Amino acid sequence: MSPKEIAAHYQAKVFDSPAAAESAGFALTETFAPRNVWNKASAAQSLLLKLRDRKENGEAKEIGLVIEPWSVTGCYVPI
Amino acid sequence: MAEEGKPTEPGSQPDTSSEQRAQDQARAAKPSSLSADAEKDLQVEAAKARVTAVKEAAQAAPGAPKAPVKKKEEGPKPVDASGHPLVKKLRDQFDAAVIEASEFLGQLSIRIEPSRIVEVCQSLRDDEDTPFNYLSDLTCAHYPDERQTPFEVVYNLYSIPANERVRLKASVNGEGLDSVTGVWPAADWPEREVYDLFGVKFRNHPDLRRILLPPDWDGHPLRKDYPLEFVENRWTEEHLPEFTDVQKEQLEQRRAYGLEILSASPEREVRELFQSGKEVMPKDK
Repeated sequence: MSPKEIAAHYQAKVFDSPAAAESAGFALTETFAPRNVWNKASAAQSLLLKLRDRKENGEAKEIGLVIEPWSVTGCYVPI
Repeated sequence: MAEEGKPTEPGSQPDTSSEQRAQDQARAAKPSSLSADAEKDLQVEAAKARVTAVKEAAQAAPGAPKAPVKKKEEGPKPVDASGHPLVKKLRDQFDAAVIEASEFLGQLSIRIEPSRIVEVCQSLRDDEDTPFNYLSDLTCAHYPDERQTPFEVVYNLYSIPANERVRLKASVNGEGLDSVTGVWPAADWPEREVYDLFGVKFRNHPDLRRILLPPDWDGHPLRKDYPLEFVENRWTEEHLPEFTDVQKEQLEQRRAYGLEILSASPEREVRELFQSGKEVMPKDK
């Protein structure tokens, strides 16, 4: 699955840039700079699983993913 | 080609224009390799023209038949194997311990209650008809969406006398399950590997510690929440020191003289490998 499909699976919003996520009220978490599409998908899933846990623990209202050509960043709306 | 070296005779070709004659003269003056290139170019041009003509003709035809699209056939699916003799025998013996059984392409898979995995394995090993005396493999899979039991430990068993195989599966959480090293001593290293890469603990294992990664490594790399990409962590910071600018320059010099193979430590080579240039990655759809 592509990062976008993974984001859809975990009901996460997708942003094109960190600035767009921050302007929408999301706080940024980790950033990965993968070297190929497989690593990019893996990085996206890794970020989203951590964000999902955060959401289930009541720390996040909404989760999201910033997908840029050479990097993936997690983001969430804190409660 | 053989005539190219000869001078042109104006009288022999009365209908050629002066331009053509000039071209012939120029061709004759060139070395033979250049004229060969020119001929090749002409052939390429002619081939391109032919392809264009065929494409145009295909587009112009209104009802040109298209190749039929073959519908992809659905592949085989696992079927219920409750009627399998081995499953029946296990159900008679252990009843609720056998959760479900399925067969896919002749491969029998039985899901077992994790708390009774050792009993079931012992019974299969000591079975009179099909003694599964060989633990072919022991591995694991991570399903992060299964919140209660995200790990599935898989035992591939083989009966050498009966030439039969069976796959046992046990769904567990991070707490893990009992070790089967008492049943098959060969389970020792595979269980350590599963512990190392997935973090599933095996109770009563004689020596449960990491087998592939260093003992102080953080995380379990085959979990879905562990990214494939090389990520700096406490262990890498401690054991793979960054190069200073002077060291980088020295490295470049050593490379220039071809001495890098002799001078670089394997750890640094690994770091270089991890941090090498970006590969071509197309944009996401």
